[in-house]
Amino acid sequence: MEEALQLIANGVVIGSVIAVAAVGLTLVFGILRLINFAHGDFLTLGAFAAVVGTGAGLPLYVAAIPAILVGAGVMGGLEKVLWGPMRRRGASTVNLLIISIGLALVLRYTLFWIFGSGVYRYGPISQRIDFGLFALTPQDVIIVVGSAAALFGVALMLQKTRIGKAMRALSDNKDLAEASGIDVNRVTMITWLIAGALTAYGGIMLGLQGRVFANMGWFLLLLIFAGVILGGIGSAYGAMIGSMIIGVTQELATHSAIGLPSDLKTGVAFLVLILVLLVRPQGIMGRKQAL
Amino acid sequence: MIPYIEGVILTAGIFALLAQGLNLHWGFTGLINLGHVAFFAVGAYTMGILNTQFEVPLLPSFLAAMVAATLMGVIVGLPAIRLRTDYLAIVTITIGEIFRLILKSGPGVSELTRGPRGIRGFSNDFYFFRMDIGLGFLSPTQYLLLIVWVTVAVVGVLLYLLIKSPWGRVLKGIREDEDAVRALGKNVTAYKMQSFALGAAIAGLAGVFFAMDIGSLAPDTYLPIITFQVWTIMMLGGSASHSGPVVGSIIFWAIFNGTLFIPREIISGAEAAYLRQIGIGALIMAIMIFRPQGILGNREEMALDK
Repeated sequence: MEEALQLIANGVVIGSVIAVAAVGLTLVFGILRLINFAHGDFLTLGAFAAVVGTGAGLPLYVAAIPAILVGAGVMGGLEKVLWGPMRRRGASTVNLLIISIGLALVLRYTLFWIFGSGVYRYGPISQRIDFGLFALTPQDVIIVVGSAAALFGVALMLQKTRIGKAMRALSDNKDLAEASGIDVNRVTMITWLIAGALTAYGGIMLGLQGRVFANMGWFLLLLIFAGVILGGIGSAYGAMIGSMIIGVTQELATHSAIGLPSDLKTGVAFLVLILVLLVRPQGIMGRKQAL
Repeated sequence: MIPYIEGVILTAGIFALLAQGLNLHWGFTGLINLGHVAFFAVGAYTMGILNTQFEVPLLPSFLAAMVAATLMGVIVGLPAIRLRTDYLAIVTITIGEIFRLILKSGPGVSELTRGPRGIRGFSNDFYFFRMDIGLGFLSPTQYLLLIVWVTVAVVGVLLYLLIKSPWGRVLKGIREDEDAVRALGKNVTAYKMQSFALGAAIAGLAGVFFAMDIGSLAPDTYLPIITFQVWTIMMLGGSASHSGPVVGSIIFWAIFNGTLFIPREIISGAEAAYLRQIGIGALIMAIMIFRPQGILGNREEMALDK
């Protein structure tokens, strides 16, 4: 039982990171129907942008600000020079999906080129704090609290602000939203900027776990897909719940009663992804029409 | 210089074979398969395990590799093939990764595959065999090169005939408009499965040759990047073109290995490796943006508009 509680706590930590990344991915999908295979590498971009800051002696919470701006700027810039023009030329979903695979490689190996294959850290990882039922490092606690705050912010934005309502409207029914006077290009751009900022933030959270390296986001990508699809693609709240389930499931799979080698824990999450697509492709929160 | 060129042509042949299989999936049937590397791996491992641990002779183990890859195609295809395109992409890449993880540390499996340590010692018989058939004057590389390219030619002719046949016309019909083909009373799922299984079998055979080339098997050779390389090759040559996989593969590997000629003083080996991957990514983007039909492809014959 003690072991299970500890694993669940670990799962919540990684699930929080996946959730922040997944919400960005699913917001973009909701509006553009684009499955972005480069999304994981944007996490890495954010994490490394913060490494530059901490390397210059800034504390992480200061270095995070330019890193988040870099994430938003690059995603927004790509909408301007790549995705927008391609859509106007009538590129199909599959065409854009393949482009995103190429973009992922360019982004990832540019980071490899600049930073090498080594491992970077924001700082030393502190001793675990014993919470009685489980123990977490202070960094883990920051990840959970920081992610929860970001997700709460997104929820608030979606529910309360004009732009959030416009995003939901566009995601529900593009034609209807457009006909009711929503400026699609503007909302699309803002969605990219929010997704870029969130993803960079998620990347920093991922790096806070201990290691920053050029493959980190790519290794998380399929778990992000799993969280998004389990929750229901296009649904931001679904992505949060789905990611949490994925995080906890893959940690629990290593429980000694199950005895799976920890190498295979991501395999379990992948299996969940496939099963969901086969049994209930609309996920937990999604609706059939959104497919 | 000569061994370098031979190496390029050999690798190009193996990847041309892979691209022929993928071209059947994507170019001719419109199935987006991002897990091609799994079929490549299953072929290589089936041959390797049978040959080293069960002492199955070469030819039967080659055939078994193709059968195993076909079965894998059916196993992957059965659930996945009904999904819409972007989900099929996610499922196939995920299955490829699950398969690699299982090869590496799957309970019960890693004893057979020897996990990350891998398998060696299956290629000796294969190379000695050239003496028996009077090809002893060829170097091992030349011998493998010959076999690979003969296979590419045979598979190429076979695919040409198949695609020209009524069966092939149905596949192309599915690519263009699945519902229309279904309305004509064809069993679309069955056709898709056949295409998927046959393409997988071709990839399995490519896996056997690849294993012979590098002489060992290790799970982490079979990363998704291989699938992306095959996609680049297929799109570069032109999807739905019969000569596309061959032309694409030769151009791809000539460029890819060309970076070896950049002096180390200018770019270190590791940097050159990163630049190659950046180049692959940029190439994928450039083809999709500027010439989605590739060098030899026909714009009318693209599965992109679904």
